Amino acid sequence: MSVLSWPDGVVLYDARTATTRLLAPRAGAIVARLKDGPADASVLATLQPADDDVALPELLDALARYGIVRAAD
Amino acid sequence: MSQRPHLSTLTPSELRQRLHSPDGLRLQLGRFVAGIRSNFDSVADGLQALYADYPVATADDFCDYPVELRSSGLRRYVRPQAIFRFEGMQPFKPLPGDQAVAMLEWGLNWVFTNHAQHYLIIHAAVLERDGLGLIMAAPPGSGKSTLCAALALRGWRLLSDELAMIGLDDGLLMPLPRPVSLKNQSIDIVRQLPGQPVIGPIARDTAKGTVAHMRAPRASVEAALTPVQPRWILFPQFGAGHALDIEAHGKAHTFMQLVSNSFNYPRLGVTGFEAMGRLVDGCDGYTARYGSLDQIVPALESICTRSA
Repeated sequence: MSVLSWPDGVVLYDARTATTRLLAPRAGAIVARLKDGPADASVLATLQPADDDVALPELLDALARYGIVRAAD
Repeated sequence: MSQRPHLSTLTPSELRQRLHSPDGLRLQLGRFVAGIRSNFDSVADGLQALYADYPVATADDFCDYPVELRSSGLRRYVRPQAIFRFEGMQPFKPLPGDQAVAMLEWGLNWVFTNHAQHYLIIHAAVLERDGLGLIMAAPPGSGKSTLCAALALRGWRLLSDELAMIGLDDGLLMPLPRPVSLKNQSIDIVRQLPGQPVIGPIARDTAKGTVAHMRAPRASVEAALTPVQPRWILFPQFGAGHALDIEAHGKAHTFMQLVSNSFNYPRLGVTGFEAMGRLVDGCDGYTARYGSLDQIVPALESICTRSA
């Protein structure tokens, strides 16, 4: 997984599926953090702006549905 | 390259002779040599009109892309059809013979986009000003070629009307100056611009409507081996009656929009992703809606001076 981050969003390239995706800055920040290694919800929550109206579990579910992240066993 | 004779030095009969020969007319197009074979007189006339300033390579030069455009059998005489071939492949259905020159241009575009895989190739017009490159990426019908022609006629160096070719190693724009493709109303619009445009033969009733090509400025052809550092990316959208509206475009969105305009990004895999990332990182991106050349040309000249 390759990641490029800019203020207006994060572009993600998944070599397994040859897919390029544009993520919102916050989703991108979470993916970039998880790329460095597993993290629990409390750590990921610190990447969430206070005024964000999408709950973290909802966001992680959406990323998991696209195969971008997965829950730890 | 400058030591080679230009196509304009060939007599009409010499040109036809080369087009009929097994090696074809070897024409230097940027860093590439195309070997063109054809039995259409209209192709010879079109090449003389549109490629007069291009160097002619010799039969000893390596031919990168041998292409053939010919009619065959009885169809040579009765409602002739043009058939485009490249290395035994026939990528398009035959077209009416009076569209042969346009078909040669479309065929060459197909050859470059499908076979020059050491470049990231984006469907875009590319020009240079003061040593830096402007990439104008847009789908057909957005006014890209008309704007490209207008800028080229004002002294911007034309790198390409159709293909932004970004070196995978150095990130530089490789020039491939060829005639500018014009459609329908844009033919007369460009014909009336200052700068003495040379317009080649007109093909009517093509799949794209009426089509003609504007000859690339001689200075652009002469500088065809000098690559350019990309600096600006523009997504132009012409609309009759539009007020001028230019906005900065975020890099992530610029990246995705370039991907959707790229010919070979998926094929290049992670190499393409990295090359696109470097390109976007080094450029300012803009979207532009405009209703006339009088609006957009001065605005671009301001942007491409101010932020250089």
